[in-house]
Amino acid sequence: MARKNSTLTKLAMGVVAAATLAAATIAAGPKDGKDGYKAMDSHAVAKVGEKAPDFTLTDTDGNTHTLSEVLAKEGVNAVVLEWYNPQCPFVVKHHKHNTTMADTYAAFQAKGVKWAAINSGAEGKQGAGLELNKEMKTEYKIAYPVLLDTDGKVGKMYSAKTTPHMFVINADGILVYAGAIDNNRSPRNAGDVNYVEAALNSVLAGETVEQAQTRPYGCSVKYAAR
Amino acid sequence: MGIVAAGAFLAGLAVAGMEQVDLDKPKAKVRLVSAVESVPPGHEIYVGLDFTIEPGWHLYWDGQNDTGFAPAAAWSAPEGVRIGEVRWPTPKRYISPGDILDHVYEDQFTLIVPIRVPKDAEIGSTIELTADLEWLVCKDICIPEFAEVSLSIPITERPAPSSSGGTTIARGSRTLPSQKLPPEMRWAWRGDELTISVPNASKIAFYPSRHSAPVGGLLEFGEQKGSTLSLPIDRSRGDEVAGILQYWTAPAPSATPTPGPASGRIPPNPSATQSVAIRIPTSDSINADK
Repeated sequence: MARKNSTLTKLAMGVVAAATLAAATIAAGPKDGKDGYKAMDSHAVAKVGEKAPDFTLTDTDGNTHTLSEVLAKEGVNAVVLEWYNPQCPFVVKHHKHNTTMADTYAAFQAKGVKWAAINSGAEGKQGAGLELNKEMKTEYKIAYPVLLDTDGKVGKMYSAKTTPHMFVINADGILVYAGAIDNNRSPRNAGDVNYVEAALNSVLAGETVEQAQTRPYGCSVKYAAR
Repeated sequence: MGIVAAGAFLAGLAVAGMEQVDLDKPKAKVRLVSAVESVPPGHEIYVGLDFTIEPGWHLYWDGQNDTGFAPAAAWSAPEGVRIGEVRWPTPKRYISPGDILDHVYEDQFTLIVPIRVPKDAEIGSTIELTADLEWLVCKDICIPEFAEVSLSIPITERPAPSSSGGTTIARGSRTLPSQKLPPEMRWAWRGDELTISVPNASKIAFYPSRHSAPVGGLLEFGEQKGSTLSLPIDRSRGDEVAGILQYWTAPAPSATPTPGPASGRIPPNPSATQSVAIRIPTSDSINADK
């Protein structure tokens, strides 16, 4: 095969790979944003720069969580919502093959940042079900709650399209970031820019989030068919 | 990483209570073909990445999608060989529950890639091309798949066409959007609304490329009945509206199939479709016809 026989080949490969692969995987930057759709609910719909819609969901241990109550707690500086399906390859990428989610959570946990994974998969769909989600939370060593949104109401309220699809809410309850976790849209490799990390750093520094919206990537959220 | 590794990667993904998916069996296969058997120095040739997909599954176009991941190729080739930009066929809209809009390929499609052979390539030598490919294939679930495909093309004094590769590439070329705008097409800006019209079209759809200024409500407005497509565009967020415009034309009255003689002849296709690559600057303020 060509790549075995010379350094010239490697050289050419490097150049070509940079030109074609990078263009194909990373080029969808923040510029082409994420606003090509409208949510169907005319009332509570999440919009960057506006109040994040409130919700209550139950986690895999049976505890209920209400966004407004979490935000009202002493010392809470931000909340991260991570749309999640344990069997989506892009989730596997960030929970198993890389530790993006665990690392980002760990870096901010002590700084008053609360984090929750939300599974909006409908019953019978891939990645849905209480037992499976309990099991996968243990397998992935997820240290934050995994909330089940089986009827997809909260997912649709946030217009969550992909797993993962990330949302950052500041202490005032304002949605300050919506989009991808990082800048590598491949199902295999993690990126080198972590947008959630950047957003949280801005929030904690009292600064405006520079990239408030990026194009999320991943599997589709497995909502029930209408 | 080969296909074997893809299987191992997914071993943990078998799902209880779902339609059984055989994860050891690839859902998409790819071949690398060339339009020529051999090529003279300095020539440009076309190669094709020809994908075949299991029924019900789809791969992703490289434009604006809510989900998924378009096939990505890392090429290796001898020094001096230039790998051109991938030409993507016209995709189809694919809507999933939750207002999720993607543009996809089903069954079969061919990505066409121009390859330029260096002028100083030695006659009698061989060009080895290898594409290391990664794609996502989805149905109810998504599976990342990988493959490495290669091709040897001898350098000869005269070109020699390849009948099978040539056929695949010719068939693939017919699915690419045209680079030439139909002369009857018109567009106009009215504030932030871009109106594109193709007389006689019964339906028009627009599939934005990744770099296009975003269309507001693409799910709702990206495909419209009739001869006019009106798109709300955020003109401040991009230099051009770029992508593929597809339109369907109703049969002309004379072409309406009438019950023909009992020859068993199949009546003509009731509607024809064409697609064209468009790039409309967002700075245009007046009507333009080309």
